[in-house]
Amino acid sequence: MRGYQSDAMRDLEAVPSRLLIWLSLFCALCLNLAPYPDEWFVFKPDFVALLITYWVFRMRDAVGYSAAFLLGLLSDIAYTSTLGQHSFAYAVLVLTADFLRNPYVIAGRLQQCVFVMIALGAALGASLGVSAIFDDATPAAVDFLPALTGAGLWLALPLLLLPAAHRMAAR
Amino acid sequence: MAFGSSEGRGRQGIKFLLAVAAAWGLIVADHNLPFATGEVRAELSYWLIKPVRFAARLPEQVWSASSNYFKSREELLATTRRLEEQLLRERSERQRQLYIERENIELRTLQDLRRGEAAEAIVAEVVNTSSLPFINRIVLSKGSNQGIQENQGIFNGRGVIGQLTRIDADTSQARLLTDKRFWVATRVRRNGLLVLLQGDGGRRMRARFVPADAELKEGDILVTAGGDGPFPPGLPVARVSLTWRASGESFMEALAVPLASVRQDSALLVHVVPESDADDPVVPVTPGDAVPANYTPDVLP
Repeated sequence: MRGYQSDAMRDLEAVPSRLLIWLSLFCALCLNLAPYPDEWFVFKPDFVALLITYWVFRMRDAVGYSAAFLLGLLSDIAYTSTLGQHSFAYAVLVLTADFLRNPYVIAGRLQQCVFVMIALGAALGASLGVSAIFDDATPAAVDFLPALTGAGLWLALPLLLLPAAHRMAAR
Repeated sequence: MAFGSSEGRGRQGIKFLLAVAAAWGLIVADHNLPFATGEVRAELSYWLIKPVRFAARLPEQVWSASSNYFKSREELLATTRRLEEQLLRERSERQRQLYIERENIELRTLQDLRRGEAAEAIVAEVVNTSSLPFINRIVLSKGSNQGIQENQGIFNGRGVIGQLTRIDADTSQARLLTDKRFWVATRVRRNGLLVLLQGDGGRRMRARFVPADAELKEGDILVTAGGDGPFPPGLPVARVSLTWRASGESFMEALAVPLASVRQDSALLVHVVPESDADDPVVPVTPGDAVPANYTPDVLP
């Protein structure tokens, strides 16, 4: 059994508290709204989407469709994008992550990154579809770069959240 | 509830469909009834997003304040000297500009033309760029409470940025010049040729309906034509990067790269229409009757 698989199993045993989950999502929204240089903007992942993916993979009950809908609504208001656009994208994200959850649990670390990239790419594609219909947007392949960078950040995410999860684990 | 069971998956499927239906209901409502959803958006933005935005920018502001506090005396002296030199250069440039304006007024008077009004502008900051690279939209820190109106043009020190589309009480949304719905009348700085520019939906602009024999070439700088548009004349807009003529066609195609870019926290200027033009509301530039009914644009390589 690979070392990371045993880590993944151990992760699933530490049940994180609701406070940690919502605190992490709040921090993700703050990271999304923080100022970034123009050169970084093309690569900047959607941190809220990344955290939703993490929690759906980690614990299915953590973030559901209603939470994803509300977070999407907040993102739409923050970015003044079309209301409902991010809500639709995050609902697609939760569905995709839910389907990929079983293979994710038994996969190696790099394979998990691929699953994350697929989930983030599906959310980006949903947003892209809405923009193409209502904003006359003409997206290019480079617009999917945030899914790649999000998958890259996935490697670091458990290092940040797991210690807090184990400390704040609900008894 | 076991999520692997068919019952669990069925419930999740119903929840997904409900979420998607609610999302699309909002999308359609926002697209067709922007004034109604705008009120809801403004309230939620004030009560929910403003605190989050404050928290998001707090680390950067604390870092900036503390690094300013610990700046060495030599750095401050060098910064002061640089700013004094810059001020001196700009004062000299301003004197030259005043002389040219006086000369312009005299020439207009001689030709019995209406005197051009001095351009006024409101300074605003970029609060947010879009979450997605392909959405050409930004949010500014000022709204109707600060005198901002819909369809006003925005620009910075390097040139045109875009045009305001949605105004809330204290924030406003602007469409960038690369958006497909953004049009601007420009002139070639070199020879004064009038060129209509449209955003291509990506990162460039397209010159539209330029006669095939027009003298437009790569490297030409395009500046705003002014007139009744939302921008004062003479603002840099874009540089022509590619021209293309198809044999037998009456129009040439050209691509241009915008000269100004947007960065969060950068200051922008919102062009205020002078009061003498208050009876003529600012309207977005559209091709109107200039477009032949049977015109089909060629696809660029």
